Amino acid sequence: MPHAFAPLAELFWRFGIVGLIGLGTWLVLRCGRVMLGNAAFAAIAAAATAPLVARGTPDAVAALAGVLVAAICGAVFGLAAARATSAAFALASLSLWAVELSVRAPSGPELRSHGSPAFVVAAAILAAIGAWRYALSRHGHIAAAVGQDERAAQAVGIDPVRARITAVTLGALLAGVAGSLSVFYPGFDITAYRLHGDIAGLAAVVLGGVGSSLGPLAGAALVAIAAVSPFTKEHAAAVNAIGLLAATIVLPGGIASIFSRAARR
Amino acid sequence: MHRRLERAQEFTLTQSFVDIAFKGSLYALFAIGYALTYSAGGTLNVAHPISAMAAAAAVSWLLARDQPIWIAGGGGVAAGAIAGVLVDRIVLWPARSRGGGPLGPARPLIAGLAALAAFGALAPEPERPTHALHAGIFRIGGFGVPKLMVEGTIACILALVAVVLLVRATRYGLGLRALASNAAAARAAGIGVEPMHIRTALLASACGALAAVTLFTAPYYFAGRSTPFDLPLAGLAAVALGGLASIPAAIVGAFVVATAQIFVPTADASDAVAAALLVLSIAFLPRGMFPVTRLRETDRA
Repeated sequence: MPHAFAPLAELFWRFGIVGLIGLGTWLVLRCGRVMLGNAAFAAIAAAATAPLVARGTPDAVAALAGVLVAAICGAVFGLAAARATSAAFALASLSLWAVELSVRAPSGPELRSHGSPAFVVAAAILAAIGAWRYALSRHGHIAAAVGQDERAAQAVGIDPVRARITAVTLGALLAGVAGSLSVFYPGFDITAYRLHGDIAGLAAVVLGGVGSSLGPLAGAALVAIAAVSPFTKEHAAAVNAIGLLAATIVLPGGIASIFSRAARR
Repeated sequence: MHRRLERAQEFTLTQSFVDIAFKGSLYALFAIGYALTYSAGGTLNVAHPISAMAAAAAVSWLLARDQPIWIAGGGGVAAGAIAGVLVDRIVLWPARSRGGGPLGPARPLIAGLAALAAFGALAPEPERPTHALHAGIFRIGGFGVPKLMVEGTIACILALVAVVLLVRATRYGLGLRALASNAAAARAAGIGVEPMHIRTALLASACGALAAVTLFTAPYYFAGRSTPFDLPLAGLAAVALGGLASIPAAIVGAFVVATAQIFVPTADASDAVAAALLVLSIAFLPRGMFPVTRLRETDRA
C-alpha cells in the first residue's frame, strides 16, 4: 500500500475493530448490564487465531476458529454471570481484565500481516445492520424489555437470564470477529486490548449514543480519528478515557442525542 | 534426615502464614473501600484504585526527596484520601446525581472506569526507590521477613479494626448503615447523604491508600511481577466472595483470596486465582458467603 494511504488504512482498521467491540458492549448494555471487559473476548479470539495463522492454516479457517472460541468463552461467562445483580455483573466483567493481561500472541510484524481493512470495515457495517435487525426482532424486544424493567419483563413470562446469556454471547462473538480480523492488521499487538480496548469500546457506545446500533459505529469513527490524528495520537488512550468521562456526565445520550434534539426543534 | 524435613515443613508453614497475614490484611483493607462506597452509594466504585495510585506516587516522590519512611507513608495515605474525595466530587457525584437517562444506573460505574483509565494514562508510573526500603529483617521461625512488611501488616490490621469499630460504634457508622439499608428513610430521618458520601470516600480512600503504601514499600514484593494489578483484582474478588455490602464479610473474603493464592507458584498466576474466585463466587454465591439481605435490596434487579 502506498505510504500516503497508510494513515487512512489505519483509520479504517481502528474504526472496524472498535466498532465491533462497541457493538458487542451495546448489545449487553441494552440488556441492562454493563460489560467492562468485552475486549477480553477480542483478545481471546486473537490469541486463538494468531498461532493458527503462524502455522499456515488458511486465513478464513483460522479467523472462524478464533470467533468460535470467543463465542464459547462468552457463553460460559454469560452462564456464570447472567443471574448476578448489576453491580455483581460489572464486578465479574472486571475479572476479564486478568484475561487481557495474560493472553499472548505473536505480533503483526512477526506474522507478516498484510490484510486489508476492507474486511473489518465490512464486518462492522454488517454487524451494525445485523444488530439493528436484531433490535427490531422479537429477541431484541425481549432484551430491551429486560434492560428497561426486569421485574415487569418477568411478569409477562420473559426469562431475563436467557436474554442476558444471549446478549453476552452475541457481544463476545462480535468482539471475537474484531479480535480474529485484527490479527491481519500490520500493526497488530495483542497488548493493545489491555483496558484500552475496553475503554475504546465503551467510548464508542457512549459517545455515539446507546439509542441505536448506529451509535457505536459513529462513536467508533470518533475514537479512530483520535487514534490516528497527529494532535491526539500520542495520548489516544487518555483522550478516549476523558471523552468517555465527559460524555457520561454531560452527554449520556451521545452525539445522537444532539441530532435528535435538533430534529425536535 | 527426618529432622531436616520437619524443619523445611515448619519453614514453609511459617512463610505461608506470613504471606497470608500480609496479603490478607492488604486485600481486606483495599476491599473494604469497595464495600464502604457500595454501602453509601449503591454502586461499585470502579475508580477506587486511583487512591492507591496517588498514594504510591506520593510515597515515591517523598522517598526520592530523602524523607523518612513514616513521613512518606503518612503523605501517601493523605494524598490517596484526597484523591479519593476529589474523584467522588468531580466524577462520581455528577454521574450519581444525574441518574437515569439512556445509561441509567450504569452512569457512575462507567464514569468511574473512565476516570481510572484517564488517571492511569496520564499519571506517570511511580518509581520504587528501593535503596530507601531496606530497614532491617525480622526473623520469624527461621524465616526472614522485611521489617517494613511486618510494620505495614500491623498498620493494616489496626486500620481494619478501627474501621470495623467506626462503622459499628459511631454516629457516622449508624448513618452509613441506615443509608445502606434504606436510603429514602435515611434521608427522611435527616441524614445528610452528600456529607456521608464525602466522609465515606475519605475513609475508603484512606484505607485503599494505606494498603497501597504497604504494598509499595514491601521490599521484595514486586520481583517477578509483570504488573501490580493484584490489589484491585483481589479486592474485587474479596467483596464478591464475602458480599458487597458487608465489611466483616469483605475481610473474610480477602483472607480466603490470600490463602488461595499461596498455592500458586508465580505472582501472575495469583491474578488468575483472584479472577477465577471472582467469577466462581458470582456464579455460585451471587450474594456472597455472608449475604446481607436487607442492605441495598434496591440493587437486586
